[in-house]
Amino acid sequence: MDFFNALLTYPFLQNAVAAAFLAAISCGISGTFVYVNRITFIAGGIAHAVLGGVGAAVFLGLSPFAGALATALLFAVVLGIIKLKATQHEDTVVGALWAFGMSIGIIFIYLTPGYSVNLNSYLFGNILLVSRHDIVALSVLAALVVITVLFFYRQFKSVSFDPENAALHGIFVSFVYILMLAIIALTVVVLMKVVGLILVIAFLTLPAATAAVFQKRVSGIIILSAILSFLFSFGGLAVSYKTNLPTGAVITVVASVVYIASLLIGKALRL
Amino acid sequence: MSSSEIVKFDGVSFSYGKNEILGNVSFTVEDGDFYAIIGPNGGGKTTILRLIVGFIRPEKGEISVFGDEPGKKSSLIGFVPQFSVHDKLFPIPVREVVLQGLVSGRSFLPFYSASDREKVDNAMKKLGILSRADERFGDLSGGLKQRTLIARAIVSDPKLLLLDEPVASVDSSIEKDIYDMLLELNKSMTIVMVSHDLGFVSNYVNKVGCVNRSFVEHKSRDELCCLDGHEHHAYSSKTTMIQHKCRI
Repeated sequence: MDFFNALLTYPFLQNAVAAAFLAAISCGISGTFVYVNRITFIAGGIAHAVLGGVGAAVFLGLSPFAGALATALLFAVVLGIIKLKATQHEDTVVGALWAFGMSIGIIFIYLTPGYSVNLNSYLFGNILLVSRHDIVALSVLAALVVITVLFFYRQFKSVSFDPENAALHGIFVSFVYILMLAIIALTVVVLMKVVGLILVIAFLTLPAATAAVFQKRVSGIIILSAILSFLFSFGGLAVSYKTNLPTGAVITVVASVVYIASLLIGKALRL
Repeated sequence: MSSSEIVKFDGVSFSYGKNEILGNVSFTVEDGDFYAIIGPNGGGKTTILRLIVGFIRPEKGEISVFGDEPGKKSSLIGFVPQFSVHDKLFPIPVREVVLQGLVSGRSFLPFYSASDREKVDNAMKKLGILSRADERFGDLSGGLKQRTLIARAIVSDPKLLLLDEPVASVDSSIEKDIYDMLLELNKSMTIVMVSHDLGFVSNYVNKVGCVNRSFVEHKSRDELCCLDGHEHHAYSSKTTMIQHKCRI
């Protein structure tokens, strides 16, 4: 059965496409702010530290999704404070927290008696295992991302471009910056289901970086990046279905190939 | 405070860690002044601007801005930073940079009003950059970037305009254009600018303060010229004179 017929037939594929759509919306928005603020490393730190929350939640018998959400938000606040107030080398501290979070996660999962859930599904994602219940949760997160960014769009853009000008005009820069990281944290949790924690960085940077070759405004990058994110996921899903390769990895390879092609096209067209 | 006092420093000291940047600095900027603060790199010029806008607080002494403590009357201040602080690749066109002069802590939703857009067009027209409104800020020359940042600073119609090295990294023909433009703006607002080089400045400003940790104020260009002895002295010599004076 080809992919499109399978899509009409199997609910798990329909769920996967719905998850890809919700992830694309969050990713288009958050990825753009990661790109313009050049905070890929911080986003990566949040993504990997989330494994600590997943491990702790599993150990305590709670929902891994809730554990991931709580940890992502906690690390967004902590990393935001470090970024704003750092007296140490910021990258060293972020790297330390990144490794600490992952290590805690691995230890908790190791300590969990009879733990049988595959760790790989969090590290590399499995969009084909997304349930209806997950879709509802992802919808809520995506809606939160969209509403918050719509409401704070001008402040996010102002703080990203020139935080001192923003502060001079009465914007509470620390709050807005940490809120922006919280939005990125929510997106990380959404993406955990689609591409997994290891590949989140790729998805938070490649669509926005590809869009930035063709768009010269933040709003334009957000829209194009969301469209590209969905196309990457949909394309990766189709290729993965056909080849029986891991979906998250295939989606990331598709995104990487398109990004490299866009750079070459951009150079050729002198964009 | 006298009604004409815009900024007043009274015995202000400031340090970054153990490194004292300003020591017992006192001066007053009055309504309508075009005030230049001159000094060598690291002498404390930018620190003075940051103290005025309230980004940092003094360790000793008092600062008043429009009769209040710094940061309380920000809506009356336009600030032009050095354009080199901005990311060249940031995806933002000139018009949107100028619109950021109208952003505030109450700016919610992504849209600006028609009147805001009109103010922005007027500011760009005044600075001669309206035709470049849709170009990416990072692609502009140094002089056009500086004009854009000045347009952003004046779009909210401030009473005090602060400029940090407005002619750094622009060539001398652009330098004169920018000073001519500032002189025009000075008809409707008080201006305080810092520069590491007296250069053209002495022909435009009515007061000069030189800072290199301590502060020496010259209330008029004549006084400055008397110190120097030659009105059209070479810039480098003037700068040398000021640095020497500041070390006293």
